[in-house]
Amino acid sequence: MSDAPAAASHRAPRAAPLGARLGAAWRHPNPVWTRELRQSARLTRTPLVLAVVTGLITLLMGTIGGLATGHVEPARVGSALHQTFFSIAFAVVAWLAPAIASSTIASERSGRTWEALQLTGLGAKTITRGKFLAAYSYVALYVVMLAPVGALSFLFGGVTATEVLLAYLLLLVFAAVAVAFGLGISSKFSNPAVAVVVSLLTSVPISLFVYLGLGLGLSAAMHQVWPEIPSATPVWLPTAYVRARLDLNYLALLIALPLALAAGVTWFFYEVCVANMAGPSDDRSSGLRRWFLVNTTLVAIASLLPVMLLPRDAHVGAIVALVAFLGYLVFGCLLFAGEPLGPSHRTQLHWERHRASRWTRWMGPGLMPALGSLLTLGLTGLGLQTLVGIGMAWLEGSQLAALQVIVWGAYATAFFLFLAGLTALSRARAQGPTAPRVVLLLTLFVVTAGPWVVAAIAGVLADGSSSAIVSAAPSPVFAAVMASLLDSTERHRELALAVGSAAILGWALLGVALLGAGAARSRRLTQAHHAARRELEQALRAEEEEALDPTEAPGAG
Amino acid sequence: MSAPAARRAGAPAIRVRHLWHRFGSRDVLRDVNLELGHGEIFGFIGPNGAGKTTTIRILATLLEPMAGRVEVDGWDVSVDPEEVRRVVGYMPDHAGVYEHVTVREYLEFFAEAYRVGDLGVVDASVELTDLGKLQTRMVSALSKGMKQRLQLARILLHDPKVLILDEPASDLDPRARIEIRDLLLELRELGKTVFLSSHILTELSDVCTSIGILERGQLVVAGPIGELAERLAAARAERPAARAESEPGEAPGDRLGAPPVAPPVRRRLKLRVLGDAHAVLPLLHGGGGVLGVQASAGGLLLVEHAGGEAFVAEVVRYLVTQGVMVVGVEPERNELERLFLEVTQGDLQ
Repeated sequence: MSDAPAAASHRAPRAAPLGARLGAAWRHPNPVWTRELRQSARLTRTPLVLAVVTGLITLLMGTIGGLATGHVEPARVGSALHQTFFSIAFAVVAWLAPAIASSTIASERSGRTWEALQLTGLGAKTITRGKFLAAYSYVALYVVMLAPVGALSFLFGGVTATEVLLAYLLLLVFAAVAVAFGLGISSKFSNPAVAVVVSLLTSVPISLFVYLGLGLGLSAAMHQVWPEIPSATPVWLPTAYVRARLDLNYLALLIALPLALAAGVTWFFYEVCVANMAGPSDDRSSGLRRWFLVNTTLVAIASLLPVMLLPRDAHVGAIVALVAFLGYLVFGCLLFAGEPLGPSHRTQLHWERHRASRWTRWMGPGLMPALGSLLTLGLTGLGLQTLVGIGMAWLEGSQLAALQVIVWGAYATAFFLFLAGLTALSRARAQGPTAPRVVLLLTLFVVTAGPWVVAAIAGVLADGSSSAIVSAAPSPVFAAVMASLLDSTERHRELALAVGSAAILGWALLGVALLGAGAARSRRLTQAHHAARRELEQALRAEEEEALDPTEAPGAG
Repeated sequence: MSAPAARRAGAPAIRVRHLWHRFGSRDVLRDVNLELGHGEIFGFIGPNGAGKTTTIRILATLLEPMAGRVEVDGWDVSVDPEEVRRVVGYMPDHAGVYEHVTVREYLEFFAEAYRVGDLGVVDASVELTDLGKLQTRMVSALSKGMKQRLQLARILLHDPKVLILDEPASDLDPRARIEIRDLLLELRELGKTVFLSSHILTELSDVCTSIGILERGQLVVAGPIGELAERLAAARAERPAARAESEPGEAPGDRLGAPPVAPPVRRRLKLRVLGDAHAVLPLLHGGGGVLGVQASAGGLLLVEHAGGEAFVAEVVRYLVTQGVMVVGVEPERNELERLFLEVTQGDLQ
């Protein structure tokens, strides 16, 4: 490297157009990807495992087809084979993809090749993309190998070729999500065996939830919207694409939502992986913050889908949306509980060199900017959802419904403020991200369930008096009690509403106080850190000047 | 705000200033200061747990210093790790390799990862490390020595100015060690600065232009071996009883400022002569600088003395002039081993 002015190498990187980037990627494929593919191709177990899996599934499909052909009409056999095959394929992808992906980064660490890779300067993003592509290619190979078996159902009838093709495409989309999930896990571990076990322990229950909830469960809901979609069929989405009529619901529920869900989850795990692989002084926050900004907007919109799905009780849909969005915001608090208090010295210097904008700095590392984004997006989202709910209630002509939405909206907002404040203070007081996350989860559990335990005890002590329920007012679930009591004539109605309102106010005030305390402590610590840094720099500079000053040299003057 | 200068022009190859690092409540490095010029081969020595690998990992940007400043070729490792990685080639102790690729594929992968552009560097690297005949062999089939060579070839791909090698010859057979040593000398001729740690002191003394001894997280001494030996000898002469009088809690680094730490060193010299060694005893007993002589079977003589290399030469010359057939001369320790034992206490942290 020459002694050329350093500034030349620190010009702000200019992003090349997408076309040029794709062209460059085509000409120079990711080296991590090509190397991993080469290694996989040389493993004798690869073709063996592929052949065994394909053989077993072919055998199973053949057996089912053979047994059913005699006494069941072919179209039903075809449909059953289609459901069976893609259910198995889903399981293979859901369990295999995270397991394959989870060992990739961990094995670099355990094999002690990670440092060499890190020092090449490839960067966490390039390595993550290479690892993703490698694991995805491997999983895609399974899907491709299984293609002829899946096409068997088409021969019997009952499903169209388009449905089979779409099912394969969806399987490939799901594989991307599963691989990203595995990579996210892998980036946290240095032992591949542990990473694989953790990935399986998490992916199995999640896949069961997806299969039963988003598969079987959602097919029933979709059957309500589009009767053409058979109910209680796990593989319903390809059928829906072919049979549902094209309208706004189609675009929102069948196109936008699944795509946004897949893209959002994949992007999240990609950013998690990049952040976990970067150094402690690197900017590990901007990527996740960008994701959060986009995703929260999408989630806020998507959480209004129940309003579309429940046209007769739209305000109930709005309340469901509020609760779902609050759940997402709790996840946001847990996510930002891992933020550093402020940008590192390195990040700050790089910002200065690149003349980073205020927006870039706002989106960079720092607890309070992160919580600022969370609060801005969260409060806006909750406010809009409450307004939509009130609007729906107004359209329904129900003042009570509007009041119910307001109660839910107010409680959700106040409780969110409290959680954000708790995140701020607990993170500012902790050395790392684990303690504030544990504090947050424990508080959430205690605050949600604890008041109900107290209410139950109070009820027993008060001889079953229904007014004992007011003891549960601090629990966010109490919003349901408040909403149900709005049109009640029970004696304790006034008391419950008053205590509930006091709890709402209490959470909000406590949240603001915690936020203030967290911000003050965070600012104090950051300033102390910068002062220490400045002091060190000054001491080093003074020492250097002393060494260079000829008047200080021994014997001089 | 204008960008601060990132790289100091005309900076030494490595500059460590007031480096501190801590793991938990344990200070692993304590105020380490070090400067290494371009083209030097620096041997980094210290007992196990002294903090060598921590220092090396900080230099290689794999660990961030908690306090102090570390610069490689003028780049601050804390601020510009990417730039440091461009000028540094780091070979860790017991590094792993990708097993299911050929030697050529392995090096091509790293050349691409380093974005060197021209894959001709792979040929140059292979030639320098003498891996030409093994290019098509699978990495998994290589011996330990060959894998070590492969690692060296890897870190040379991007033509780094500074090579940082952590125990490059550990676990290698004698032949492979000699080959690595020769390779290091060749690299020095190519203008590379080499910073290496090793437990094999004789190996370091053969190749290093200077050394640094680290003990309990502090750099005890640093400089050219000969110069250090002279400084210690001078200090010893000035304060012969310093060790006995030194404070119990005195840090090893304090000895650098006021180096006398030991009574006069009793060195031992092994001589082998033809015939009966006992017959030679009267010739040596009572000689200037001779502190004691023992003879044993096989013509072996063990001479205890307080002199240097000139004394050894003088003894040999004297014996030859007296008609003694000297067939072997072996100083018991080499200079670096003696230096190491003298300035360290062997304490682990």
